[in-house]
Amino acid sequence: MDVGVSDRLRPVAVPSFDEWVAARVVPLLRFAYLLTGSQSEAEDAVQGALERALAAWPRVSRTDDPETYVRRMIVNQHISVWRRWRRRVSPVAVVRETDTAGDPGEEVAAREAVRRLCAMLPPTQRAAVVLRYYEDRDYAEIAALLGCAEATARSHVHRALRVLRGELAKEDEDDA
Amino acid sequence: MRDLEQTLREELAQLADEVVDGAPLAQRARTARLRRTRRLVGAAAVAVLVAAGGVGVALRASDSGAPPTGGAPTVHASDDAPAVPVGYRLEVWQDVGVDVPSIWGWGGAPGGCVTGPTVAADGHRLTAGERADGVLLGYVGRPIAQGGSCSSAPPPAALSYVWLGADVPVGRVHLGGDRIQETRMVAGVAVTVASADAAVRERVLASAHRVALDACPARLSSPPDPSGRDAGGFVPVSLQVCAYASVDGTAASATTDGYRLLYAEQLAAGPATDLVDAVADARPLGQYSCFGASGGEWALLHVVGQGDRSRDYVVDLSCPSIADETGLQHRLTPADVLPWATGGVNAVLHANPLIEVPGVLIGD
Repeated sequence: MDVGVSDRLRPVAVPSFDEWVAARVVPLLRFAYLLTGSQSEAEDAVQGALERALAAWPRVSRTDDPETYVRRMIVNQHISVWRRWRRRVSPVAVVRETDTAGDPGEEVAAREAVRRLCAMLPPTQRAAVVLRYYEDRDYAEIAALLGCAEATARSHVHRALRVLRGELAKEDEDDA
Repeated sequence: MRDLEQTLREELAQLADEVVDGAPLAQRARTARLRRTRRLVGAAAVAVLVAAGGVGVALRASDSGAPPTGGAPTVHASDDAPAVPVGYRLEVWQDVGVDVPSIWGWGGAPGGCVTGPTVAADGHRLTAGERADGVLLGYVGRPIAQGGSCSSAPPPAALSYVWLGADVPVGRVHLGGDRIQETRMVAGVAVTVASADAAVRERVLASAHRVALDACPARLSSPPDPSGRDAGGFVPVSLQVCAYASVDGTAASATTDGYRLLYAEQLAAGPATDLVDAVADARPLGQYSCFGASGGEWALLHVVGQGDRSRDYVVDLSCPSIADETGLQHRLTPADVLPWATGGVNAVLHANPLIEVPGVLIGD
């Protein structure tokens, strides 16, 4: 009987780095793809974050939420100035061939508007939007991940919404 | 119009479906980590060979203030100058050098704008969250007067640090637990080390010594004119980055003491070649003397070439241009900044227009 032994003192099963990555890499990659808008940049971002996590895995794996740590690394990498530079000299918003069969025109337009929005937003705003509307994070979590005040996180999201509203209005005008 | 927030939720989910998974990212991360570790060890080993063999970057037991002379950066190691141990790197502040663990980042120190770490060992700027949650083991702090946003918040507890030239009295301070902060004066510069590991403290403090880098004088009265000793066919071999700021942290004038060396870094042939090529490709802006109107911070980029040739480029951080060896100003672009704006440079040159506001001065 374990009387007197608190749960806090029980050994915690810590996943190996490879086990954890195998379980979480797909959502991380999807998240990074929305941040970067590019398959290769998403892979780079996730790889870079995993490399850092690997270096500190004994500590990271014992935290309550290693995924938050890795996501923060992905966000940081996305926001880093080097990536901003690269983005500014790279073609943006490559329009893909999409299967539009059965898609109402409005939906296709909205999809392209969102794609353009993601491409044109500054990295921090883009990260805030993805965290809010893809990850369903609340503003306190977004602020923690972005390393900013909660009010700033709200501001990033609201500014992005304003841009999207403008983009959708343009679509409506073009269709009219 | 449809509900905006709902539209975003639906369309972002659709966009996320476009990603192709299956790349062996865990394996790639392991490989990259291994490669980085080997590179660090390799670089440190090279540093040892350099110090022992008498070629490469410079350590000289003097307080020479001679201007850059061109040619290969000469090694003048004082008899008692220690070799940089494997896993350590040389950090320079004015004419004092200290060996610190290579995995430590960079930041500020008392007497400057920020006291804690600001840049990780890989050169990326730390977020507030990273600064607080201790992703670093330690950092090298300098009392940099200029900065975008000042903070007097102390460094996170348990973080080791070396402060160079900080406003700290000589002596030992118990910081709690096993952590001890110790300050010694070396060549008139306060060298402060804090760590819970007595061996690390002693090793770092014992390594502090006077240095003189030929390409990077400890003090200069004004930014040097760009210069070069080559007549075509220049083949870069190495690049010495020297970062300077005015002593009083503002635009220097004839009444101030000029500029002091904040940081120096020796880079290999790759970055040197990238820089030379990028400057050659960057659009010329004219011969106006932008670098002469210093806003207080600038970088001297001393490229050593084969055959005792060299080129000095100068970047004034208040100008969106880089001056080549003839004095011709070229447009500052990511290509001609990325090769040298690495590591600790990003912690000491806060007025860098490219680093702070990329896109405003590049591109359009």
